[in-house]
Amino acid sequence: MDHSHRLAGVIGALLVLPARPLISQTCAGSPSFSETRFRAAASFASYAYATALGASFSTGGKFYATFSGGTSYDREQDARTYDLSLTGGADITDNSARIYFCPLALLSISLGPYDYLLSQTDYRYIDVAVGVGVAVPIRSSRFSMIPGMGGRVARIRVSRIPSEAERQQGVPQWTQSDTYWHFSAGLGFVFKQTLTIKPEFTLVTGLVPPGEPNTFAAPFGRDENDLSVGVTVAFNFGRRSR
Amino acid sequence: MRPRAPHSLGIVAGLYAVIACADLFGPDPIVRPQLRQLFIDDLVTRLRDGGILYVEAFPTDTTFRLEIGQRVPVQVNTTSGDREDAGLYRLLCPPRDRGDHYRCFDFVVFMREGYDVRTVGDRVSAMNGRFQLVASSGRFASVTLFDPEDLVRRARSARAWPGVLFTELTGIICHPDVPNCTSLSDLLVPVPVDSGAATLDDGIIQVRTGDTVTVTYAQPGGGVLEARVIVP
Repeated sequence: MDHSHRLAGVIGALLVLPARPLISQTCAGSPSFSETRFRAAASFASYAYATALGASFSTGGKFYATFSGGTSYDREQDARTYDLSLTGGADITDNSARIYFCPLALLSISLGPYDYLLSQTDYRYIDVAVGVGVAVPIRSSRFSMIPGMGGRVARIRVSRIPSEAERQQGVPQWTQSDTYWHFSAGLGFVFKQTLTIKPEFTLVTGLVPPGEPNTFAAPFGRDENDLSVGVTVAFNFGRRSR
Repeated sequence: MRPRAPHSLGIVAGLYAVIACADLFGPDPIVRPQLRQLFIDDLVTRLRDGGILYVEAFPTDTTFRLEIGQRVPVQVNTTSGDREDAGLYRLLCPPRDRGDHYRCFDFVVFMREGYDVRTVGDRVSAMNGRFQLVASSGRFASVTLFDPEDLVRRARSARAWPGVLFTELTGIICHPDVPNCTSLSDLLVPVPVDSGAATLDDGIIQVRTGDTVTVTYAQPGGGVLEARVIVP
């Protein structure tokens, strides 16, 4: 079984396996979708070589889906990507609902940077990942804290796309791929089960070392053992009728 | 009765965590690594009105990487009395080992047929830069900017100048006998040079014929590195 078939199998299993009644979004540091149907969020992250701004929309019940769009900008290289991603996941907990396990699958596409380093060359990033998160909510009636952490394994594919003029000059198109790990740890502050503020750390590791083939295959703006910090502000809305 | 939720405490704690983390990762603006060599690149240095002095340095630790916003301080003195502080920055950008690299201070301007690159000299000056070399045909020139941190964006914006065909970044090509001739730890600072009477701390070195220009660096463990050149 080749890599892509294994990946498809894991994603399928993650979407089918959960059998318990589920509420979602806990591992993302937000209140569940048992009370509301939608969540809108804005996020900011500072990577080693770029800053990322994004907005997302989530909905679900037993399972959730998040669609997000954003942009990442490397100021030093004046290089920008336009990022789109789709995440599917679920929260699994026992009856006490003290600890949540949250499998997820993620597909993201980053278009750009365009005219990278004034070279008339464009890039495209495709990232597929599966992983799991763990969260332990600490609740009161109007305020919750949701510490959580997660890890996922990701396969990234970076394509270099020369311009037509460059092609005519013999500049080749190439694609590089690599598998890496992405870890996260954050703390969601939830107010009235509606507003969430979540600072978060993320770490990328397991990339091919520099000097070896496929070193371009790294998430845009990030590098090996890059510990970045970010914050997400989310708003739950669309209260469910009882 | 349930205790009141500590809203403000939560918000303050969250914001504090983000601010503290951002501060934690902020670089020190002044760095003093141990240098093994400090020299003046006389191949490209032009000590005359409108010229540029190129000071280079090699840290002892080749894994040293200067971050954006950081500088390694050197002082430039002339025997005719000028004194300027300058900050070494990276020779090559970006500092990451993976990916493409370019010279942090330079880009090249190519002009369309019938245009002379010297006609955009005012725009180069307005960008806080100077021509390093101008082709005798006037069709292209290499430009050095004295503030490197926005080089790519500014080189891109230069494409909109009248008569400009395109701009591109420059790299370093090693002689086949000297593989890996550069390191990402290498440092450089170009300092503008003019002729005339010395004006202290104006960011420009004023020189006169026969002057000796001395660049000094105070090593972190004590001792001083020096490089000298005589103005022709």
